[in-house]
Amino acid sequence: MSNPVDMHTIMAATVHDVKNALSLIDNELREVIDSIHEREPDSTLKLNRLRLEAGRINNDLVHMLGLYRMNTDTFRPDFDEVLIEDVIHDATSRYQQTLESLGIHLGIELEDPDIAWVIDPVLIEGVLANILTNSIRYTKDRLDFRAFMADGGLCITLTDNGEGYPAKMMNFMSETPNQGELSFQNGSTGLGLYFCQQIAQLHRQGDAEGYIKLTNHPEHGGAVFTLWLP
Amino acid sequence: MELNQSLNKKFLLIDDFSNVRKSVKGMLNSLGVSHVSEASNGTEATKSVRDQTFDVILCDYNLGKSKNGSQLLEEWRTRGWLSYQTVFVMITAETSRDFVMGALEFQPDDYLAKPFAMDTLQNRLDRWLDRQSALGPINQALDRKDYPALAKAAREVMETKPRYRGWAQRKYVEALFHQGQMTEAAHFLQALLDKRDLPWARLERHRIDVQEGKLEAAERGLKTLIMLQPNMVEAYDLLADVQMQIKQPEKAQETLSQALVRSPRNIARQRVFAGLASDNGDHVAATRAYKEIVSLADGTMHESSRGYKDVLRSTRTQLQSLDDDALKRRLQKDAQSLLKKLIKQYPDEPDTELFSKAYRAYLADAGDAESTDRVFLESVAEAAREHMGDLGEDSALDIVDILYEKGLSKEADALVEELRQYHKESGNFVKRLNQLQAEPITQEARRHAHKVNTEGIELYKHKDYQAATKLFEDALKFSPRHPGIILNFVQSSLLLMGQTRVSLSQLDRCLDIVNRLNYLPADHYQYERYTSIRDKVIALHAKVKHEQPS
Repeated sequence: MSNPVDMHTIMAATVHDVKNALSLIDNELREVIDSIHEREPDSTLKLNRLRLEAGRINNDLVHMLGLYRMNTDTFRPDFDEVLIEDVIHDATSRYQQTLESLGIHLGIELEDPDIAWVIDPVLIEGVLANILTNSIRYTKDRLDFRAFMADGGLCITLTDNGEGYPAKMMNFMSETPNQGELSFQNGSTGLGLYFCQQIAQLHRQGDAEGYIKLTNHPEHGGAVFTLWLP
Repeated sequence: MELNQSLNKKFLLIDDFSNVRKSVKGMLNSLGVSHVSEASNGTEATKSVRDQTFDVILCDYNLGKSKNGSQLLEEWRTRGWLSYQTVFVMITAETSRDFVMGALEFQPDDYLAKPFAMDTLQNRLDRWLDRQSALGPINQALDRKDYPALAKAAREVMETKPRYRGWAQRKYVEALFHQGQMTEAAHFLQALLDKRDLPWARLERHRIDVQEGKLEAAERGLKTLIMLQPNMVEAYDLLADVQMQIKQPEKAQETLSQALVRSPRNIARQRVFAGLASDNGDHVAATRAYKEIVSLADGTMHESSRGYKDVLRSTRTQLQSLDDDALKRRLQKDAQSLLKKLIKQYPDEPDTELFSKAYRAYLADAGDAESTDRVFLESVAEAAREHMGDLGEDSALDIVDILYEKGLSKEADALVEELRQYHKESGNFVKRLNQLQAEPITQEARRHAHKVNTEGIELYKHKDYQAATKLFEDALKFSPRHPGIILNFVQSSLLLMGQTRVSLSQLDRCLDIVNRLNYLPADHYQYERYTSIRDKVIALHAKVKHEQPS
């Protein structure tokens, strides 16, 4: 397949097809959960984990297609001024049910509920949803989104109260800043984070460029994902 | 608060699947919405929208065989059937979201990807109703098209409701545009852009640049904007407009073709592109675009006989410059089937009747024996002269052109003469008629003739009458009726004979050729030159014939 347009069409068609199938699976799972969740809490829990995995496959596909298009220079961001509250809600609302059944509390706190920012809302929603589905697997019982202004830009953080990022992962981010190099050493998590980093970097204002950062909370040691956008 | 807010709101749910409607209605009910009307197709939905006012419309994009959601929205907005106070939400299959978002001129207020969970619906519902109440005065002003009120309402939202500031800013600029307050709009946009880069504000500022004639600045700025925001199709439209104004029609065509790759379903853009392609001599692209328009318009408010006529006209132009017989046959076959559809779908339009008769004769389908007879075309010419009032300008030119092409020059000239009288107030149309009569030939041939003629004029200036005459004669082969070329040929021939020797046969030829201009109307700008040269030829001819009675 030497023609890049052909390859792109094939990938896009495949991704769309799989995504459709996944959303069907997700929908069916949700209906089953609705009908059994009172009688069979254990099975409900398992089904909710399945829904999460379906969500992860979905995210991975989006990343793969997105990175491919970035590579072939056919990736087209669409910037617009949007309400950050809406973007966070759009990224989280479809996981509400799963979070509840897993006993995870999701907090959303905005320094100012009226913050509007120039971003590609679809891409940023994807970044936040991606980080959320990952954090659900590692947190104990809390996830907190915060949005506030910092260093002349917009900062969105997601903090969990799990064990925190392993040192290796935090290094992965600091070792390859802006190099556009992908390391698969750390398994699948690398791809998602790499994609998030690329999305952040697409956001520019003057000389400033967006970035992501992985740290652990200084007090309770939970993982803190930071997205900064100029 | 949200529950109370939604209690008395009226919803309309449009989806072609009853089980989908049932499930969404169930969700809405459990969120406290009790007034939910349903529609299963475009016709039902349109009826509901015209009969009642809704607070929120949830419309599935794909409605089966009926018009799709965006076609409904376009029609309702254009005809003023949908209040701006109604929140219109497009429901799309998740994967088609990009497609729908990029492709539409008439933007819905929101999109919802399906399937959606109850939590998502609740979340959005709060958002829609909050926005509807916060922006009430703006939307009322939009409904009334009251732009001073719109400006005032938008200003107020900007100052008091930071949440909707960005949205109100756009409406404010829109209000200023409608009131012609360009300087104020420019200042306002510049102040926004000084704070931060906003793609929409950049586009609007360049729109003002174009209005003020700052074409170079607009061209530069729009190119940068497109580089940064390649999905912003309106920027391509504006850039193409600039490129047409600075006389770069090929570049304008290229720009629009890029916009069409991103958003192919816009009929207005397709039409501008087709016109440009046609002017640029790219008849393949023009025909393709006109065909696309016919298929996009199918079943929508845009459907009309015009679309078919455009394709047929463009195909005919394309056929004139084709050598490939197989391709010619295929195009002819396509055209024949389009012509049949045109005749079937628009039986009561007098213009269409004359137009399609002429095209039947032109396409000369072997199965349509009547149309291949010369008498048939003569009757078309006759009918056209009798019904000039029914005949649109483009169709009239088509008929004249086809008459010339089929060798009925006398009938064509007669029709042109009467059309010229009938439309004498319309200078532009008369000009096109004159041009057609002078050069009833293909654009390719026209272009070639002009090129050769220009070369001839250069040689003529250097007094090389021999070479010049040869080139003018060459040009006449491509454009046998063009006044300028005819007169150049005759004038150059006369001077050549002055340099060398006078030949009766050459004078005969000159007389023949100059007589081709018998049709020239007295107000034609070449008329005086024509009569003076003609008289010279006649005088010389008589003199030589007298001297050389061979």
